[in-house]
Amino acid sequence: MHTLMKRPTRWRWLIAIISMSTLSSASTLQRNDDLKIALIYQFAKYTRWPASDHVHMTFCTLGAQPFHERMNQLMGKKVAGKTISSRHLVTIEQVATHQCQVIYIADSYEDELGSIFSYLSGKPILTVSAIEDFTLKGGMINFVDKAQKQRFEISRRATQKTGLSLSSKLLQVAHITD
Amino acid sequence: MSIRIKLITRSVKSVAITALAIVSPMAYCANDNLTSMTDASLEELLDGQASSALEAPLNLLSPQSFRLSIRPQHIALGNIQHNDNDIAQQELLNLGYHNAPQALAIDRLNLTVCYGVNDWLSTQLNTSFQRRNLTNRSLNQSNNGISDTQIISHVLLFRDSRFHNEHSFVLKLGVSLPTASISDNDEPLPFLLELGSGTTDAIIGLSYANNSGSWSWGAQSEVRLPQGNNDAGYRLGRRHVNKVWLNLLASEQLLISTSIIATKDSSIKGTHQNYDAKMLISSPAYTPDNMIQHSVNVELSGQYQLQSYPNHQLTFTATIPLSQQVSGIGLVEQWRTSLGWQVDF
Repeated sequence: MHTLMKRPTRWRWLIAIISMSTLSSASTLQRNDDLKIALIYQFAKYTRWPASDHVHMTFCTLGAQPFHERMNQLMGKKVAGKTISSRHLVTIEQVATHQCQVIYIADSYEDELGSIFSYLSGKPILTVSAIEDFTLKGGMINFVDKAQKQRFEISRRATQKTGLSLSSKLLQVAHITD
Repeated sequence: MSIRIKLITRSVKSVAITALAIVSPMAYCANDNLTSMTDASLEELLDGQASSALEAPLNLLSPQSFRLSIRPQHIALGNIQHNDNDIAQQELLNLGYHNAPQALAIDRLNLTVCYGVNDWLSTQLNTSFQRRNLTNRSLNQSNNGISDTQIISHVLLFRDSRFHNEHSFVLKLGVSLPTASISDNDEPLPFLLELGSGTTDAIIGLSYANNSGSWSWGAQSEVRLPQGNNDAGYRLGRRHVNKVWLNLLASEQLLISTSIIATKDSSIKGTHQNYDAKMLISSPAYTPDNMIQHSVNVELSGQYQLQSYPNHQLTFTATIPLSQQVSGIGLVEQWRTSLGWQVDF
């Protein structure tokens, strides 16, 4: 009887450790996502956008639903005089429907980058991702870890092709890949 | 034996429950964090990040990644003392010690392999090959071979990650296996020359670390608890190690660290069953009570990440004692240094 009484206490103890550990790793992931979102907001601010009749500045996320949900926190802020809205995409073709101006491409879409870039070709849409060698594969801004800090690479060629112009302030703190 | 195990279990529970009780109110305020980041300038976002490179003393690796570390180390002991005072060779002779120790040099080649199991658990295996040379007044002695092997788990109990600041609690649980051989023949070696404890020892520790920008600081408390007696009939005393550290990420490649380490060793329980009267009267190194009981050391270290090979790091450590308290007659530590190479893959 004495032994039976003790067992639940042991399990509660184990569950407490695992729960705290899960919470702690989740908070690290969320911190990293938040940092990326804050930087994307800065990228949009330091981009010279071509004139358009869009009412909103639309930030889209291709894949990565949790990242999109965090991105919703930017709604209401302004870039280039326009209020930010946020959309979640499942296919790249939804870019046109939602009039995206900034798109974050999740890692799970790495194998589809070729078709994504051919669809976006010539469109003034800022492409951002954390996929390895994203800028070498045709993307504009790539998140990279350097000394375990969040940094980013920029492909000037990719941005110039679409008529977008990035501020020198952004270029100074980035690693330029071409 | 079972009472000892119960006591250890109770201690671990108490330490970890206390840690959980302390950190539970520190809930992650996600929306506040993102708001503060979006209000920050581009420079603040880039310069103000807490870097996980500063977590080095916590030994937590990314999931499914390995770290291999090879670290040659030299430790020099000398300047024999009686309690806190120097003692001259003539005085030792007057006490009958005609073969008292004068210096001990320890050269170790430390090997460490770490593996990150998941976000909150890393495991580590430490072992070394060592050579010990003891210079006595009339007879020099040496010993070499594999030391004890430690298998350790580092469990992340809690981490609160903010933009500028990150703090963590890590529980260390491990075991030291008696892979070093203990002299048990007709000519047993003095305690100073033994390569290991000869016992299975439990290792329990708790660490706290805080990162902010390019700085981090933390504290670690650890205890080693030997179990049972070794084949020679004795066991080393408990060892408590308390450490505080301050790290600076001086550049993207260079991490500089300083630590203060306080160590307390309890007395050896029992003595070597093969020591004879002749040994005991010839040198104080055969008496278990003659040892460093308390020490406080300052450690300076640097870790340099190679630019061409970013997964490879070179490390350097120098340790100098600030204070040492000897129980009875014994050598004191003079300095220790190590150079190392580690690779993450």
